[in-house]
Amino acid sequence: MFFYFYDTFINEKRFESDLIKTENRLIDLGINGRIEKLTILRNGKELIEEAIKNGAHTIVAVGDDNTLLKVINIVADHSVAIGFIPLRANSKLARILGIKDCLDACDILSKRLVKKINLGKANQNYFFASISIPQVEGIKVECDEKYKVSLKQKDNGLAVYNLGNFLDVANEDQWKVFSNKNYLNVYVLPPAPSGLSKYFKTNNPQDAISVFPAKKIKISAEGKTLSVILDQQTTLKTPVQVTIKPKKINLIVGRHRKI
Amino acid sequence: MAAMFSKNSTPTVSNDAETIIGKSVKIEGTFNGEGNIIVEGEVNGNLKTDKDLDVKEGSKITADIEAANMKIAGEINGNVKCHGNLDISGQGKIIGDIETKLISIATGAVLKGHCATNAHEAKPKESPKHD
Repeated sequence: MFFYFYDTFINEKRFESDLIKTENRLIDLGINGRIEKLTILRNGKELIEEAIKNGAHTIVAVGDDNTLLKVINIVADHSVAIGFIPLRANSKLARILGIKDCLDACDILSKRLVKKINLGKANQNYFFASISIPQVEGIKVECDEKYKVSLKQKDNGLAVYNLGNFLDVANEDQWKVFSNKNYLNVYVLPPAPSGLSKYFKTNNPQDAISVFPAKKIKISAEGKTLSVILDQQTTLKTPVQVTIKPKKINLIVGRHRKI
Repeated sequence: MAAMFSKNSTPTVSNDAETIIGKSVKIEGTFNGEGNIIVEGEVNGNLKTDKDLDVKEGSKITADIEAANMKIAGEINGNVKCHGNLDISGQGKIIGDIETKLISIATGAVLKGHCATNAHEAKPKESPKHD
């Protein structure tokens, strides 16, 4: 059974036409199923877990990137497939998964090409693409319980990538997409350009980049708490223990996927 | 992943390093890598990889290091074990013992320690075939 999880915003008038076309296409393909709409009074976790209990084998997030990320976090501990129907034109995750639009998403669901995807886990939360830490002053990073990384500049940025930086970076030309490797990549990033350095290139930004592969990362801060942002969606406070969970979810993807 | 250094010629650096220890970073502890490593910053402890190691000018390593091939243009305080080619450039400085298969030392490089090469031991001559 297919279970379609509709996000709250798709009740808006501007999505009505696309939603009708999508529902008709799903019926044509014979993969229509139970639909539940998320509202402020209904808990998404309960809805999805109840559907799985009732025999749903595929949970389809209908909405935008945040809808899919929500579904991934709920479904990660169950062995069902996850699909995605994007209703916003600017969906980054649709491009990563090789989905052109909502109708293409229906065809992809029907073809059911399933890929096992790694997830990262930060404390009790899963993340799909990345962790970003905008303020690093006083940060302590320990990798694989073997070595410590110290940052000499307090205005550096720090990121941990599972599948890439595509949720953090607007310009698609600057996306880094990592294949499904069994480790995370810790990136120390150069300071964001400010003042006149925005306009005058003084040095090569690549000079300041550091990269470390690691399976287990402990992020803490001395005498303070720092914000750790998962997939640009959830914010945790340090200390945070980060690990990789290989082949954690079954994601339905298109042929032109980037992962 | 392709080797960072060519086997037959002077080592050249490629961009396929899995680990980059940049200028703004200091590593303390035991770093065991499985891919190519570029060091531009500071390392204290131990540094080992199955692939190639490129120590850039201005970097400082206080550690024993081990890799398949190495290109050294920075400063190393510690013993060096190289399973292939060790190329020390004119800016390179090694204070420690060196064990390598092949070595190339440029003018201006500084070495303080014992150096043992074993190219011939590592490459035994094939016995002639008899028909």
